[in-house]
Amino acid sequence: MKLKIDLTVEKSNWHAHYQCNLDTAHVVGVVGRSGSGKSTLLRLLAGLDHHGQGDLQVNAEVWQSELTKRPTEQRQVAMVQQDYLLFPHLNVRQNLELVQKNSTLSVKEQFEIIDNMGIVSWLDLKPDQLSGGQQQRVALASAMLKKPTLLLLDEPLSALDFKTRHQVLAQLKRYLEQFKVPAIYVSHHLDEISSIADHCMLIQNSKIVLCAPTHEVLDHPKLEQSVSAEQFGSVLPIRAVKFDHSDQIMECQINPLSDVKDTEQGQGQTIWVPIDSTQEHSQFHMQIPAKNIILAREPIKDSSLQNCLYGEIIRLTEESDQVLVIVRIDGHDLKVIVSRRAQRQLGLSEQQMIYCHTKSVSLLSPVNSDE
Amino acid sequence: MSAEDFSAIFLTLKLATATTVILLIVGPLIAWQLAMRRGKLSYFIEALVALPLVLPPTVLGFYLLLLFSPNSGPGKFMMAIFGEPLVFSFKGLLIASVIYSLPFVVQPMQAAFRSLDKRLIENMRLLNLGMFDRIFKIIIPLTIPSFMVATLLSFAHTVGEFGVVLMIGGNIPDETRVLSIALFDHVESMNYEAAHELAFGLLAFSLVTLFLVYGYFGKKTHELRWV
Repeated sequence: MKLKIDLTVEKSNWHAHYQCNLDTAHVVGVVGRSGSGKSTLLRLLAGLDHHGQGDLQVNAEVWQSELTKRPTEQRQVAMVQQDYLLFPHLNVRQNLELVQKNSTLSVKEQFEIIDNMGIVSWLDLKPDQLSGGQQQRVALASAMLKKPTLLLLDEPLSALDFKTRHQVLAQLKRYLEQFKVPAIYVSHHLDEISSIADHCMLIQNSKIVLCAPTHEVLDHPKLEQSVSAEQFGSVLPIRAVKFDHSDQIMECQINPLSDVKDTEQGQGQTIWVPIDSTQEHSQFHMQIPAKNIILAREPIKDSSLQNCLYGEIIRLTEESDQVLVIVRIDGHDLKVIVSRRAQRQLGLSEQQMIYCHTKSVSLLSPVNSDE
Repeated sequence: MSAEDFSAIFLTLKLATATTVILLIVGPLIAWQLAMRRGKLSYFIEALVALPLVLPPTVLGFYLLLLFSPNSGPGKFMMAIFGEPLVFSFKGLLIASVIYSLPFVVQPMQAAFRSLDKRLIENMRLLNLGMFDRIFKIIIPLTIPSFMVATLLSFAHTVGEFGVVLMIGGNIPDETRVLSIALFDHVESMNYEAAHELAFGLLAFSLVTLFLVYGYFGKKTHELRWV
């Protein structure tokens, strides 16, 4: 998808400017604080906001310019909103039928989508008989059935529980690849963004301040202001190697970046993660919040800390009362936040080797094996 | 009850039915525009529609009489369209009733449309639904209790019409002699027993209608406000 956005919104007490050029994006993640203007951007893309002025091009088509504005009906987009409403008087089947009538997908493909999203057993239920998460799944299926030119997703999985969220995310990812449907994906969850988006926009104060490949954005210092302190951290790819049945824990290895030579036999460091045995050999992303890492010059013994990674400090950035330390682990950058006092006492400096103990890691969605 | 009274009842039902059918087409269209648009013009139209609520029916009747009169300019034009003078005719009465009962359809429908969740309306656009689907699959089913209220109010209000009819309809049996006029005749001729029959019938009918409006369907319009 080629995306060219240059839109301005002027309201009495609110001003927004969105500018961004992407040539080859497929799924574009949108990150930003609540109220930073993420949803407005989606509404502008859908043609639902009347205040937007400027230019908008999607692929080779002009959706908005000084002279014209293509109405929502002719943009062929689909949108799933956080508090999406299905038509309340229609059951799930009837809601989906409204989309299916105009769908370019074959009946078989349509059925597969409904089946994959796990909503078959709710077809005869009304929206108010479904939970919020179930409604979101139906809404997502409905948007998929349309096979839109652009799928706009505003926190589409916010009401789902952790496990379902990652199942549905995997289905969504597969769908977007299979049918070559480009998408814009707004989320507060960096794990969702990192597992689905190839490019990413960072929105701050109603402006796109960053628009680049996802790994660059997720590693960018500007991101820190836009995510909760708990979420700010690093994302590393890992592989489940062997399940330890006696301790009920999975032995995983970090996937080293391919161009890294200094790892033993090309294997990454080991990390223990509490997942069940069926996940053996799956690939994951692991997020480690920067505040959850304890740095040590020597490995800490006789403690409950299970995971210890070893790497080189490549950068120290001093911020007001704390220090951001970047440690290179198997070619990946691990962000660690320590206090100034701790930095001074440990005598941290660049090019120093250091032990990183982590208490908790969170796992992101399994990566498709064909990747 | 005399044959004349039955004829008056039949004529009244015919007038109220025809008025309601026309209003159920015209009213929601006006109400939709008023609910979706905000502007000086829409406030003016809103005021215009609401006029019959506050004007004495005789004012409306007086101007319609001038308008329908074959001697006036507009009256000649109307005569060319309808082929007969509208004054003292059923057609004239029908046009007057439509204007007179318009707010009783427009106002509840406007409130109903305005209470529809904006996101549902946006969703219709995102799904690129055709006009038929929008109206008959989404909007009407979501506002059906208000349609019932509007139907009952417009029907009952037309049945209860008197002043306008008196001004432009006169008292022609089978043409313009509706219930309220027949009742007036009975009272004038001191035939209180016949007057009672019609008056009590009207009273009971109106009470039941209003009970349905405020009780059953009124409750439903709140229940069905969905979100």
